[in-house]
Amino acid sequence: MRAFVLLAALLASTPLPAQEKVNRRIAIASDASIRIWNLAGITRIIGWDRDSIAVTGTVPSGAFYMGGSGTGAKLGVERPDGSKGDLPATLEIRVPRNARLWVKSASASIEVSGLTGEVECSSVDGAVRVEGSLRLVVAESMEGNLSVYGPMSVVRLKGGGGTITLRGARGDLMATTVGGAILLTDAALRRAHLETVSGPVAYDGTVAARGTLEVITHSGDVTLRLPTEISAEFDLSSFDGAILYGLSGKGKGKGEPTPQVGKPMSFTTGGGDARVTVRSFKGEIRVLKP
Amino acid sequence: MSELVRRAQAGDSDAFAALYRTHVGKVHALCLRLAGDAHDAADLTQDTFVRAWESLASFRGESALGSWLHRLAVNAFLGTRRASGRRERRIFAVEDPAVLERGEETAAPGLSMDLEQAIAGLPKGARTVFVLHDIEGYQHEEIARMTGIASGTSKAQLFRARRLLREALAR
Amino acid sequence: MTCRDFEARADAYAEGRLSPREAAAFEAHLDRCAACGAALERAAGTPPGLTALARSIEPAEDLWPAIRGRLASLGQRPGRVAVPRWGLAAAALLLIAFSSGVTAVLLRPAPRTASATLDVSALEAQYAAVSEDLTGALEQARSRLDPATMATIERNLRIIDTALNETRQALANDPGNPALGQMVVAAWRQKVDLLRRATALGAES
Repeated sequence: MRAFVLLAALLASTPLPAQEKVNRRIAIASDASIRIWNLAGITRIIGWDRDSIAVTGTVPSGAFYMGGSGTGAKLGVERPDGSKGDLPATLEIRVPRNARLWVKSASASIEVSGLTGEVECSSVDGAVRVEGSLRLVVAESMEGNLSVYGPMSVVRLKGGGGTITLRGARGDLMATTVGGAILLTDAALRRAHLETVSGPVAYDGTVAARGTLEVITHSGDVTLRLPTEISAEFDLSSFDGAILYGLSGKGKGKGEPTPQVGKPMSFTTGGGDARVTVRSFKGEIRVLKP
Repeated sequence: MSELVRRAQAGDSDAFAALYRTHVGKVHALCLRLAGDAHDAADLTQDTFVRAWESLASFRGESALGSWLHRLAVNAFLGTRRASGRRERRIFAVEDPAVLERGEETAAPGLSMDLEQAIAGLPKGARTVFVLHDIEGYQHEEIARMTGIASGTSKAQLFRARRLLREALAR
Repeated sequence: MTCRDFEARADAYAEGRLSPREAAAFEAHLDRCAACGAALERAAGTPPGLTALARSIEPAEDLWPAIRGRLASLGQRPGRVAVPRWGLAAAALLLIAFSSGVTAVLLRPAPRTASATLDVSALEAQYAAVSEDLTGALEQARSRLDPATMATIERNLRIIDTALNETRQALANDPGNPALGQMVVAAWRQKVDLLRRATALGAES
């Protein structure tokens, strides 16, 4: 009897929602605006060539909602009584490639692929990963990693402690973190603005002709690996850190000065087409060959 | 005031996107002529629409939205001009790209430029006054107030602009 | 300058051949003399083909994504920023809105003269006021935020505060150093941005 009472009490005080499968679909315009709300678990979004949204996955019973038509739709997971609290759910959502997405998470990871439109992701500590060739990517996570792979037109990333990683970045980028690192490989941006407080910055690639690369950091070390023949105006200053310059090669402009410690360096290589500006308080600045 | 504007003021970014599509051509044309450079004009156009979003709440509909946007573009341009240290790059559509390497100050002789390119080739001060006065229709006193130059300077710069344009077009 | 001198110098002025002093005298004459102003108008009228100029020129590439990106960091409502209903100093709203302009100024080469383009102490005062407001707002939101999230926010704030103190100390030891002034403002901007994001999280909870 006692065991029964204990069991009943246990079940009453910690109601664990049962899970259910989701399999829903609605028609939608190819450039529809879609809002997705899933705070915990995994949100996986895949672009496809149909004018509809198809959702499959596993969600807590009664917690899934989806509605809309024409140019707008909303879907997601929340407690049926509207109260707060994260209910983990795994959602796989297929959307028209050119859709405009707004995705909300707390700890849920967000993965986006196959889209060409726009995506805006907001998370607390969930990781965000976007892959493909979108017009616009905006992502924010206080602690989660933000990863963007592929040539997007415009990217705006705000991290905190997590790492921001980009591969194959082109176009226009603004990325900021506090302690997290910012790492770029195979970059050839037209406009890049990278800012950290203590996180390191590593930029491997080049800057498009007439492009700008700007880095601001307090104590993060900055390492730029650029082509030896890059044509750029350089403006490097670290108040209390070393500046090491190791590019030398054909593109000799108005003289490449010998590396200085703690003194700002301004010089031009080649025709000075691009502009590279690095400002640091006490981080080390290194400009190296690839 | 139109429904789109009202919706945009309420925070509807789709409505603002529609306003952008309607007005970007004219705003960009102004920015292109003021800045004299396609790259800077694109930046300036962006700045204008961002400022428009920021101050849309204060638009009361006394003027047409287009005129209000033009005013914002001019203010954005004058603001960047004061802070800017960048070199200017002039627009020259040329058959021989090597012309660009001969220096920005002199146009290659023998080329006839159309008016658009001639405007882009004007010295910055003259170009600003010319665009504001002859294209946008501001008066010298207004130009003086907006740019911080004397109205006599504005008149002189306009004269210089028109003279240089006439010579450029006559070639 | 007499009207006769003025007339003689018109061509030279148009071609940029006058010295700065002569050019200034030429311009100043126009302020006083309506007759010479009218003469100039007659000498060079509006160029032909002006009415045929295109009224509208679409940009070579679609600028909307970049604009949309900037609007996303400004907040949903025009003229306002994504902060909760707790009040903010009026100057603060302008400050956050124009912070993109401050970034642009921050990245100019540090001026070599003492007259910096940034009025650091004025900006500091504004940032400090905003920061205080937002910190108060965050305190009120504390009970609504997950403790782990709050710990993350506080950790990030400590990193920024350390950076802010170091740059301010360096500036105090080397006042008027424009590069240091720029770094102080950068640290303040990062602090306010983090506080804004944190209070927005609190508002959503």
